[in-house]
Amino acid sequence: MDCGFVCVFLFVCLMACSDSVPLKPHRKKKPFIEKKKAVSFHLVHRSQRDPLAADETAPQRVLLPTQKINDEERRAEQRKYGVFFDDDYDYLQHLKEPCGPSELIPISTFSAPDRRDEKEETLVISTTGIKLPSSVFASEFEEDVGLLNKAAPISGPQLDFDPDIVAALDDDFDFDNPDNLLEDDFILQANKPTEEEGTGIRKSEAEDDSEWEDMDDEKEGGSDDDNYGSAGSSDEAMSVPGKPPGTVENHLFWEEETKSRFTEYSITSSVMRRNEQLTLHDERFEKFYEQYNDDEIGALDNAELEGSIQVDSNRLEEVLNDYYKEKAENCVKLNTLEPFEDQDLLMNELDGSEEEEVITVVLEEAKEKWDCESICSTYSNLYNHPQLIKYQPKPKQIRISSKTGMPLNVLPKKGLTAKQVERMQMINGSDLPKVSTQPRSKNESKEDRRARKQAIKEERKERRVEKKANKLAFKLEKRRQEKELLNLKKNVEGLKL
Amino acid sequence: MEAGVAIHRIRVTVTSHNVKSLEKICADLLRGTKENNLKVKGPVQSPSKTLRITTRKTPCGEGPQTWYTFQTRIHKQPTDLHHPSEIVKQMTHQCGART
Repeated sequence: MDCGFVCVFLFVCLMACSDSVPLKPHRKKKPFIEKKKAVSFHLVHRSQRDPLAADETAPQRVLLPTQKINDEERRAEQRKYGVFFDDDYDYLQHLKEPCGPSELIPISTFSAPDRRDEKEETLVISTTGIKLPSSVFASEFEEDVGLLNKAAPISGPQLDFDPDIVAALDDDFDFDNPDNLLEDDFILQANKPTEEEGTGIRKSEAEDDSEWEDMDDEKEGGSDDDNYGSAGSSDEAMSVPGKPPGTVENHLFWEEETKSRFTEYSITSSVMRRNEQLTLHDERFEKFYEQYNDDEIGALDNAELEGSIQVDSNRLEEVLNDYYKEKAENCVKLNTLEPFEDQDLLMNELDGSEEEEVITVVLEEAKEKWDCESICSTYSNLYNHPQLIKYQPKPKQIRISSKTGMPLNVLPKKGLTAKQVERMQMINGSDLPKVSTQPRSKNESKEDRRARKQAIKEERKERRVEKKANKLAFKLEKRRQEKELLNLKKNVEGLKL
Repeated sequence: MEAGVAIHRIRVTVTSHNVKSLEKICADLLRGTKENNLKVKGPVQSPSKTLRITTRKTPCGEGPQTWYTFQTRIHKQPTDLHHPSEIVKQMTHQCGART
């Protein structure tokens, strides 16, 4: 079943069985397992250190007996040792008794555990006498290194690779050196009869102290075009095989010196497994280090650090010349000349020195010329989006009507109210045709003229009366409203309720 | 102890976060038992426990008061079996193989 990271805990409680009692209705149910007689286990993966972990037939899960210890008892025990926490954690596991002087007891001959094939031995659990097949439990014997740890890849420097590989992994390896390149058909070459390769390895003892690169040359044989060195060494490689087999055989066992220069040194190197290549490595290093033996080091004439030297001596002159050369080089490097501030110039003291004229040259940096258009063209388009300039007329000032206090021309104009519409439809007295408005007929008799004029006069009279009445009404109304406003202002305004 | 094969009373408690796998294992147990014609009291559904952790989302105290409510549920199903010793081995093997 594929459940990803599923953790399932199986907790198994076993008890020796006795016949079940038929239940009576009002009786208390007998518990299935009596806790005092029962044994509990956890079902866990088999330990990696268990040798049966590699065995496919053995079950990969085992029963691990649980330690049942009462919380209260544990806490009491903990308090004895000064741990006063009252949680569920077992602090006793971190307390260990100091071990007294230990006694060495020789063990009897150690016998490897028998493999349990078909016949199963039964394991008897002491307290309750429950018998279970032993394969269900973990093996008694555990290896030191678990299965997974054995399979883990080794990290760190591994010196048991071939020396040319080790050399290639080194930082100083020169990849451009044609000697160090691999042949295109190196696999074919490698598959050739192995005698060449074998002798290549043994050759080392006959050689002088060689560096790793030399080994590369010899192994790859004739490499690229114009490389006389490697051609020469490949010849050497062919000729040498004659020698080493003989030398190796003569190397008698009791002549071998087992003590090396490094026997008293680091512990780690002795712990690393020594295979053929590593032993080789060690021996070569021994050889190399022979150089530094006391008797190997040559005359120490030049190594004295004390003493005096004549001013005229060649060595001092050489030193001075080198110094001048350096200074000359430094002079060339400067772009702009600055006043030379070196106080320790020996030049002034010695004759035959170079004389320099200090000329100050002012260098003007080439200035770039900019104009508006080029500047504008440097602007990025992210921020600069040219557009046509739109004409925006000055917005009209908002005017407020004095009567209502509302802005004019903003609100939609009101239509006629219903009352107004009704009134319009009503026929007024004013709608009646007036004499003054009627056109004068051409053929008018005197009476008609007189009548018409009379009518007009009367209309005007009526109109005058109307006007007077209107005026009066308005005046009265105005007066009334003003009075009201005044009253309001005087009495109501500022009145706090 | 009876003569012959000793039958043990076994209470197997299966605990998991994941209900489906739990159910599967219990079903396997049951199936194994039924094949062997043994007595079994089927998986008892005990109430699942919810472990909650409610914490502020923010690493500092600033910002709107947002909370995470983390939850895991633990489901437990004890099953009672009457198995002889040999079957115990088979059972552990099976259960191990299934998970």
